[in-house]
Amino acid sequence: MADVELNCDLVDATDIERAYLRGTLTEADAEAFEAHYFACDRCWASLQRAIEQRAAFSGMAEAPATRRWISRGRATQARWPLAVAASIVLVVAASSRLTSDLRRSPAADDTERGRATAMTVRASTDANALVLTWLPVHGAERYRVRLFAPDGTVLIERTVTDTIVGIPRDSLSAGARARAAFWSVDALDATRQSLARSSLVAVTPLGPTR
Amino acid sequence: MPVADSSVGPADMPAVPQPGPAAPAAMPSEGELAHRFWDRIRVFAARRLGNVEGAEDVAQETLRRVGHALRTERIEHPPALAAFVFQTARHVCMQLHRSKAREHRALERVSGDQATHGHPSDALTALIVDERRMAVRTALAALDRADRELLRLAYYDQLSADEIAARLNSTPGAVRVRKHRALRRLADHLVPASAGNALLASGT
Ligand SMILES: [Zn+2]
Repeated sequence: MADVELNCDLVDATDIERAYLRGTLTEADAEAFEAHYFACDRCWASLQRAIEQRAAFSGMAEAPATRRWISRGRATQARWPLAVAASIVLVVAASSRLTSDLRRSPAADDTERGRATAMTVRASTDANALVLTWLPVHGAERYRVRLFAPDGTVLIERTVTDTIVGIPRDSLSAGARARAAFWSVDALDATRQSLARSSLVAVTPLGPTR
Repeated sequence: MPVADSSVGPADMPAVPQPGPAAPAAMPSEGELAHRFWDRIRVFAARRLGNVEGAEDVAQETLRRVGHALRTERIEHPPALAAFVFQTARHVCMQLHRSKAREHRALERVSGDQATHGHPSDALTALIVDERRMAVRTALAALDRADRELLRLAYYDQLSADEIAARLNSTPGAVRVRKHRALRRLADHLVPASAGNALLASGT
């Protein structure tokens, strides 16, 4: 444990959150701040907000002077989780076929059985929403549903106790809507250990043009 | 496996209410544990490992170990929990660091990616999913331009109150007050991240 015992007043007075995000703290000070925000809801909320705001401003074109950050931000976008990466090798190879199959299918539905697991999922799209349903997994307390862009960026993440999730199309950015996307579901126990995982299911967020 | 809520504390504790200061808070359930610490551990680990998927592995393994410690009553009292989770996450990070580095090199060979070491905030902002970015952007767009620019200087350019004051011909104290108000207005336009789980009828 770090020597410094932080409290909220010291966090405010020393501007430590900003230094933490800029990466200018010593390792001992960074650890002291981490130990503090694990225990302190106020400072944790403030840090979360700072991270969210920076994420939101990245890619929001307004001040040209700050554009230099955009390319650096893109360089470290989320990549595929390793466990998912194993299956994407298969899916990427098949994705053009999958998406063209989806376009051909009048209902724009795709049902895919999990390869490595017992999870069965079904993706569908309608005029307003992308919907994913799945069969319950024994022992699962909740399900983490993610929608990935082809580059592995997480577009949507929901943790639900139900076995259906629906997302409105307009909650996706225009860039994300224009490309194919891939659903993935994890069945989680109480401590969020993954009990089972679906294979990736491709969807076209723009849906069939009719 | 069910965990009895009443099983915290020594087994020979008398059942009568104890006199003295406030009654001790109960240990959280494993679900509450995950709710409270999942994102904290991911931020913590993303800063160290510099990537999102490694951070998720650390969060899973940490919660697994802490859950086990809760079940076997190895955590003495609720206030010690945060410190216990923090120390566990530290250990898991150190243990996974080397093996992850090896796996990532293997993955990069497959995908043709190069390791990137950008701004430390970049690994953290990558934790924010596209949907939440959009929601915050929409809320920012609803602010007036002065508020939005102030937040941009504070959170995107990561300037201090002194630096912002110098740019805006203001004082650090006034900048802090304006930032506080801008954040409050932003919060009015923004639903909490955890409230985004509303289901839609499938419409089919
Ligand atoms: Zn605090």
